[in-house]
Amino acid sequence: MREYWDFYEKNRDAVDATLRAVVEKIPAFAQVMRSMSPAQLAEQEKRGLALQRQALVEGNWRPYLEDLAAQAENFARSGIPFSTWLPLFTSFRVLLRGRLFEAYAADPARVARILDGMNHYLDRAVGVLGDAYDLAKERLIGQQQEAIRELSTPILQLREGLLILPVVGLVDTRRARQITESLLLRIRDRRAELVIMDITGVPIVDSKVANHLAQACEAARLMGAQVIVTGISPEIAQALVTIGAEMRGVRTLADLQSGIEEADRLQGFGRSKSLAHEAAAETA
Amino acid sequence: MAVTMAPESRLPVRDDGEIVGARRAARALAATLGFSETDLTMIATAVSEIARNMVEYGGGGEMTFAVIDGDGRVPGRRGLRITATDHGPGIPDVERAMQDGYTTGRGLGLGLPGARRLMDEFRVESAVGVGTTVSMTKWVV
Repeated sequence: MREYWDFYEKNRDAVDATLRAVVEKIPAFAQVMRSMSPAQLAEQEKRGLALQRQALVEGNWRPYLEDLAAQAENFARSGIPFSTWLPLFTSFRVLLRGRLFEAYAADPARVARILDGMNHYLDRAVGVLGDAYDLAKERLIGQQQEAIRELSTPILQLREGLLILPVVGLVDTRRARQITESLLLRIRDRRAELVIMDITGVPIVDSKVANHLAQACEAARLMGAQVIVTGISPEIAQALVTIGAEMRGVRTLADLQSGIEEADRLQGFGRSKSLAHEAAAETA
Repeated sequence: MAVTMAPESRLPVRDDGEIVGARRAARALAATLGFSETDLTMIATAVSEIARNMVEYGGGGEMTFAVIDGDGRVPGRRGLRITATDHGPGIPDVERAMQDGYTTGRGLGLGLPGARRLMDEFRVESAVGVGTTVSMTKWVV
């Protein structure tokens, strides 16, 4: 690779000038270039060169690869596809190969060595680039999942003191934690005494999820609120009994409607409704 | 999200997201065999328990889902076999780990015994320092 580097250094000005022309023809890159001042560009180029030299001459690759990965992550975040890079690498290979054959036509062994060095170096760079793109995408997906999770746990206030928490979708450890957290905050903010947690939309409740839900109920109890869990399907009920996670100590009811009726009763609305009935009967 | 419908599939299980994937794959494959809704939920729950154990204690691993045709004793009987393998620290005392309420973590200790009750056949092989393999089968009634 040292031989490749020496050759590249010798031809750098010409190669880089041609490469710059290629970059300017790729709209995504041209835009990035335009957003930087000439001084910034020169500075970046200088730094990049120093890092490359460190890698190829001294064999200290880490700073260069880290810099490359950081740049790639920036590009990935600003929505420049990975494939945008490839013409750049191709142009570089073609350009350098042409000059190489010109310079050492009489020494094919040397040409081969330098080509190998170049390819080795470029492949390594492309690999790091690809990995960085992957990582950036994974991070993005993680953030989006976070956002979806937050959006998918609405806590509604049905009336004074009564909250409804419909849980829809898959509950994993993180989501369970997040549900518990927002539930407790809401209980405090709304001074709730009663919460109906409806899990009709949860396809699987294993022992861990059952444990999480039970703990959320327990924490709510410590804050002075009672939680009623509704919507356990017949299948989930059987599975929970079979594994032995019966959620003892958690008040459960078949469906959301039963939950609301029970809340009426507990909050005294049921009685006042029946009183209203009596009053109506009397006046009739 | 694509779920493989091939008679045998293999999935990595390394985090919560992949636990969900394993659960879905098991359920989808089991559904093609004609299991009842209750059995499907049982299978998915068992997969969930074992997958969680793998992630939490085994440092992640992989799960294989295979359709079994006939078990020797009952010819023509079809079932779903799930094999979960990790290369974690292993379980020093499998018998104890199979008891309700035994846990080295912060769970309920219902993972292994719970999954065993959900399935028809259940086997744990574990070697300390090598890893753990759980193999469990449910037959279509």
